[in-house]
Amino acid sequence: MATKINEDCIRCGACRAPCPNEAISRGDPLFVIDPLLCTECVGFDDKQACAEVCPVDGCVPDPDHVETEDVLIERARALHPDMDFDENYKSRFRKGGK
Amino acid sequence: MLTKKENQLVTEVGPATPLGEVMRRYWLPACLTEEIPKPDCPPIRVKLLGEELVAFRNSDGRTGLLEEYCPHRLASMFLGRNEENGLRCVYHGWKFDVDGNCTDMPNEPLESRFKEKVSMKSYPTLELAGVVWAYLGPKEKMPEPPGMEWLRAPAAHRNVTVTHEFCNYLQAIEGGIDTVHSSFLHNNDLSDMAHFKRVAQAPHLEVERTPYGFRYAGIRDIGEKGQYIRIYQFVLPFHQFRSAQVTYEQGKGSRKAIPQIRGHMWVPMDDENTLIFNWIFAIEEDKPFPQGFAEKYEAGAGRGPQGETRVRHRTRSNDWLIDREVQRCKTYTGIQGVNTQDLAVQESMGPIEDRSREHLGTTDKAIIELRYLLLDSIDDMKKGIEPRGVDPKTYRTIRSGDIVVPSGTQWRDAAKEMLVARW
Repeated sequence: MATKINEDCIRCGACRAPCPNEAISRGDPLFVIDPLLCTECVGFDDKQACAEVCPVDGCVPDPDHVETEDVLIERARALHPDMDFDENYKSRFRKGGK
Repeated sequence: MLTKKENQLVTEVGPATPLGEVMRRYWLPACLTEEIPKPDCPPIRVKLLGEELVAFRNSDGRTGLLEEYCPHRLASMFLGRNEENGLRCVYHGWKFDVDGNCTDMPNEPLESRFKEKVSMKSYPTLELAGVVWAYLGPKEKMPEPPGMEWLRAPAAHRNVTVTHEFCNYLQAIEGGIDTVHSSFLHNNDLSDMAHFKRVAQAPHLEVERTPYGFRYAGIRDIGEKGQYIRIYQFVLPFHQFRSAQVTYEQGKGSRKAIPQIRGHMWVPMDDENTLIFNWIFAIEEDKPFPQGFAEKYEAGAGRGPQGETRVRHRTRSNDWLIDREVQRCKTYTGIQGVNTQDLAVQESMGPIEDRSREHLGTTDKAIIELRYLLLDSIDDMKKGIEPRGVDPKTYRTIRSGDIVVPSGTQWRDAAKEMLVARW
């Protein structure tokens, strides 16, 4: 499922920089993640970069946007056509990921 | 945490910068009245929003604010002779009035009309509560004079001083609206374990945007005594009001003998220098400041004749005279003077803090709000919307407060009366 930012957000903005897809922006009033740009860091990391830096653990799975790893890596490929995601791409769905 | 671009937007204040244009919509404190006290007294240098200026008082007592450099050969008018209703350049005698008109050009032929073709940039000024204010914006947008409560307090109830800070204005403000740091940085008695700010080092912050800027409450749980709540006001672009009515040392919680409101105005001289106006006023009519009160308060802050004013003694070059033995045994920092402690940490960040490298937490909510207010002000200006805090009607009646209440009390209700200006 895609990641969302919950009401605990303090608007610190720390989640923006590590997002590989530039999916996070300042909303009104809290920061928001565009689910059409979020790959849950599949293809880039074995954990969700935004959740790793959030001081209040406010970047959480969005139950309204449940997506499979296959969908997410395809999105990553579509968003980054210049990048080569071989079959060993990083993913939190795989062993060691979270 | 801001992006590098956002950080640039909120820290650059020079002419033609987005925030510089916002700042030019406000009356800006330029200097103290006492710095140009009498007609024909020496001029002083003033730097505001990156512009180098001179302030002077003419023979009629009017204040003037002119660009610093004579339009002839660009010699500094700071060296000028202030005489007969004008400031005269000492290089070739050109003379200018408070409105920037050239009134004499003695090195040109008597019949010359050249002086009618030359003028200096001048800015409107006014004087309020011991401060000379200047307006650097478009004439048609000039707002009403500033209307903060402290400006209306009687002279015997108020005091104002200035300090030069060697860093960008924003990191200075961010110190001033950060209630939490006082639990640490300003712990000047390591043995006082009952101090409200020691007892509760991680207050809960509630921030509310207002028509003039924002206000916020720092709520500290202090055990059996309940909650100690400090309510701050912030009027854009750089005015902070804070309250000093409760004695928090040694967990007393009693009302101060002379309840006060204090605050600062952090005025950008340029991107890397700030002139801080430190003001204070007594809030009860029958309790003006007694003789020596203001001087003692200033000394405690590390200001005054022996402390930090426009002239600085404790700077990065001497590590703000940090005393490691005092730091080990007596105070958290080992640096003397509450405001000198502020200057030290803020200047230690470098001239302009890189906010893309920060890690902000829950007690930084007021700082976060301020940054977005500034960014939103820039956007508002582009849309033709006047920035918050320009209109004094929006903040004339506000006041800050601090109060001890039983746990669970709603501060908005409990402090409602104390947040209304009385002067």
